[in-house]
Amino acid sequence: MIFAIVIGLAIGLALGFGLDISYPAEYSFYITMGLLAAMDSIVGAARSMMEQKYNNLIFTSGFITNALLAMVLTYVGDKLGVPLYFAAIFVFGGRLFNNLAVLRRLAIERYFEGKQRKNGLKNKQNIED
Amino acid sequence: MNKRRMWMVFAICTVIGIGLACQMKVSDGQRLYVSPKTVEDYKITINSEKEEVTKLQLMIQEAEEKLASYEQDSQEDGQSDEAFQKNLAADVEKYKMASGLETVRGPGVEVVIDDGTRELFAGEDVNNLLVHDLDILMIINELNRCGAEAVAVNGQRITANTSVYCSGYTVRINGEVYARPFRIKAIGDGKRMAAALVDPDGYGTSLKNWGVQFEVRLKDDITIDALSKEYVYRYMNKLQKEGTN
Repeated sequence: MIFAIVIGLAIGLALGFGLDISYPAEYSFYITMGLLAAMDSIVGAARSMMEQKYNNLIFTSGFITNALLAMVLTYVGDKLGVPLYFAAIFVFGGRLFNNLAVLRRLAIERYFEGKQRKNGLKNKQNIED
Repeated sequence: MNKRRMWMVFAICTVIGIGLACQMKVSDGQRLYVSPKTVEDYKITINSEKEEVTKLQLMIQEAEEKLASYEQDSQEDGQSDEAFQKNLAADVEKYKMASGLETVRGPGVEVVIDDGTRELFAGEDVNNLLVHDLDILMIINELNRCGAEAVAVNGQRITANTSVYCSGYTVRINGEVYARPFRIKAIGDGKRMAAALVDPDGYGTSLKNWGVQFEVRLKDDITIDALSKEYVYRYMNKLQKEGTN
């Protein structure tokens, strides 16, 4: 799963730099906010995989709606003259850190579980010897 | 099921990758954060430019009005003759003032430069302490740069045809011989002119560093006499455009 994420990102970057896709620079900020939301959903997906709770529909729908909402918020904020995009930055940025922290904890727990299992096996072998 | 998940995650990651790459190419690290101060600066610039535009439009309007009045005057109905003459007289007055044929008066600065009085170092060139024609030229140039409207050196009016050149221990201005000290009077924005001269990089400061005496005084009321002799143009003729006489 992690491989899928990494390889997908790599291929996407290569494609983006290779193909000559360009859009007006005024939209760059909206795209940035959309990307922030998308990155949050990817990390969220990785977390749910670790917790064995991953659901494809939740992932894709969350990805699309979050990105759209972030872009719309930014646009509306621009029109109103209020920096509403801060909301997106704080929410998604904060969630990124939260999810990463949970991922780290899960990974460490698993590592220790594996070690304990190995130790248990060794102990059994010692008793047999 | 697991495979489908993999493909889904893979596809969406690819999309994000493409987005990131495009973003990097388009924004290039610029235009991301514009500080409010920058925006404010641009606003001020735009406003001043707009003011400039309105001023220019006013100038155009004035010129057009003048033209219209001239055209009206030139239609021979006899009545507007007086107005035409008044206009002409006002124009002549203006050009006389500009060319130095009129005595003018106004606020400005008086610059006094004189040879230095300090002791020479061993083996030093005495020229370091003397006022040269170049110093006077540089100061006149600086004054003109700062919007001087009329300049005179020791009472000799500086005009478009003025020459300043060295002749031994004296300086010839418009062919007249002048000796130190040199009093340069200028009518214009006195504060601006004085500031430019006494600026750390200004010409007055560098003269002082050489040891030459240099002084600037702001004055509310300066009178600058007219040019002592009129130019007679022997070579210059107005270009006659075709169809006009």
